Amino acid sequence: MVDIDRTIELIKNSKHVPEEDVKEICQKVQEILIEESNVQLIYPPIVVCGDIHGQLHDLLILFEKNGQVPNSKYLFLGDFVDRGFYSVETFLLLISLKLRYPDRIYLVRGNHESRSITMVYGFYDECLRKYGSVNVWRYCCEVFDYLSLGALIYGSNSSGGDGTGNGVFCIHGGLSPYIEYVDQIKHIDRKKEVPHEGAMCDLLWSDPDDVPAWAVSPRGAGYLFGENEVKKFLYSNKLNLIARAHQLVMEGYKELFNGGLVTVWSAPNYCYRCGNVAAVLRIDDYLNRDYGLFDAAIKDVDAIPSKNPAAEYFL
Amino acid sequence: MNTLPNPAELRDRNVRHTDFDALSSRLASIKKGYLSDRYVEMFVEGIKTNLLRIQGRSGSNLSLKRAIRGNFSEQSLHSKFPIINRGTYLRTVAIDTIVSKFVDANQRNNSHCQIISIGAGSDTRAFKWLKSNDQLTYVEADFLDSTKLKASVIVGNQQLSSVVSLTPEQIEQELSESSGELHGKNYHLVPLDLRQIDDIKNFLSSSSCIDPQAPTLIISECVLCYIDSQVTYDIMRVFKSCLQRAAVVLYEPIGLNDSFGKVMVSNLKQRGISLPTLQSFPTIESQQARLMDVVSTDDDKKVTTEHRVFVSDMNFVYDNWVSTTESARISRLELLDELEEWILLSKHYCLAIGTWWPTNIDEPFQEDIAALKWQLC
Repeated sequence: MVDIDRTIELIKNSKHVPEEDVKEICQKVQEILIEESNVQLIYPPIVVCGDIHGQLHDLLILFEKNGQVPNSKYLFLGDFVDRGFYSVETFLLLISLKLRYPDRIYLVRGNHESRSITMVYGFYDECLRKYGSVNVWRYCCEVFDYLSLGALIYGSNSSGGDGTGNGVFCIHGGLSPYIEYVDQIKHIDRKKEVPHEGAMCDLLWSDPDDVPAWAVSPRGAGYLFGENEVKKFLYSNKLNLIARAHQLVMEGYKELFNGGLVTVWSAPNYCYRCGNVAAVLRIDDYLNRDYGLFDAAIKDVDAIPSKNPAAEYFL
Repeated sequence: MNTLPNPAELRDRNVRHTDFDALSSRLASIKKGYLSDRYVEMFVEGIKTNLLRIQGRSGSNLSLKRAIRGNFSEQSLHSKFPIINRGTYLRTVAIDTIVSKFVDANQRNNSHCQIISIGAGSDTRAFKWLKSNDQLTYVEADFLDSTKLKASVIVGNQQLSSVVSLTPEQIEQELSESSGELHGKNYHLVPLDLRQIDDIKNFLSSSSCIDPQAPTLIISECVLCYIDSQVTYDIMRVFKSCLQRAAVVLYEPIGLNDSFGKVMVSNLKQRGISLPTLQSFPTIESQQARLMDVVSTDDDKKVTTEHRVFVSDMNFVYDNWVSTTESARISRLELLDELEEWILLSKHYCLAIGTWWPTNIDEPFQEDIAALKWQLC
């Protein structure tokens, strides 16, 4: 039986976690995740975080600055793995914390929590390199399939009588033309690989943009949606904010459409190359927003104890 | 006995090894279907074979072996991110677009033309264009170590040596005593340290490889960016003064003024690579001014010349030069997970062209280049 507190300490100190323990943690956390609905209902205060992308050292800074679990409550909006050099450790830490404190940390699926994407963007290779086989990758991918798709944060001040709504819809990517009401998300059968199209795909892939209506996304998956779609969605669901991640923001966060939507990005100096700051969104009991900015833990790429080549350029 | 290389030698070596980065990036993007170029694989095989021949455990040999192994392992080729493959594709097709305009314009005129690729490394562009154009002469210049490696790959491969029309005697000679210099029918590989301005001048003015009257395209693909900015002026001015009708094409990083650029400088510094021109010409405007400075220089030639400069960042080039069908094909090859990152990265490289030609000559190439979309022109 795995000692979860010890595992958490191991990961925080960049130590190797045995494959058997990974297997057990992945199996156990599935039992918790399977009980969660597609859209989890969560109460503030809470710290909402965007993409992490395997930047373990920056995740540790994030916890240091915003309070350790379980002292602070967290919602992570997906993209835990790929690109950074520590995807295995990052994902293990997050699911270990979930196993240990299921009501203090919530995990939502991102478009990178997928078999096909992780085979291109590094997580698969990292598992193979660190464990000598793809077993760990397989265990993790099974967990991906159980992650919920979104979350609703409701304020304790439940008046909402002024028509402005009283809740925050949290999702990795954005809206879908197939989803008018949050309730419709609950009918999706989420326990599968992220499909290439349809509502589940859109929620994980779409982006807000300056478009008059739904438009084709240049990413090749999901849609672009504009202020009209956001206003309509907020109004129909009596909400006041959509909080999402998925897009690099050099300043860490960016509010759009009169504050109706915010993008939160939590991977500072993304890919050890982009030079951006990172942010978290702190939501209090009254759904007031407050952004916490932070910088990269590792300034010096050479200090990364990894066999991986450093960030690539065109030379 | 091993002696430690001095810092200047180390810097040169690091710059030479960037060629392996470029070659392995090209191979990766070919394997993924972005580009097609059968010569690239021949070069990679040739370089790997060469690796087996490298004897001795001197520091420079060991570091060369390490660079080759590191760049051409299956793991390293497989792990290139889509964003790098796309950028490699873009720099290749962008410069090929210019080359194609240049070759076509001269073909229409039925005039002989020449391309001089400086710091060519293991670039395969020469083979692609020589194969289909007998009016073209292709000259490649680089550090002696790099031309030696290139010559050995060419003479070791029958297809490559036949494209550049080497005689069996020439092949035999280079195989028995590596000189790093090859002269085919329309192809010349010459060792040249670009920082030795007098050497360039001698080469351009007295070598039989060069026709100073012929329309010339000078290509610097991530080459001048490693050289002291003032020296790059001197280099380009030598070309200006020796060649009557020419265009210089630069592909290099820009954008030091933001955090991405600062991280780039510090990351590359870790690899022992510095980018002096990034400091001096951080914007497309400063690149424009730099080239304008070169092409408008009065020199001792008797003829008056006209001159023009064109500059775009690579994001603009992608959005404006790559056709909708082609960009749809590219998007389908690999899902790009992060568009903002692509925009950021591609905005930090630029394509810049400066041209000069005598006023009494119509320059069709000039018009063709002007017909392309540019951010600054």
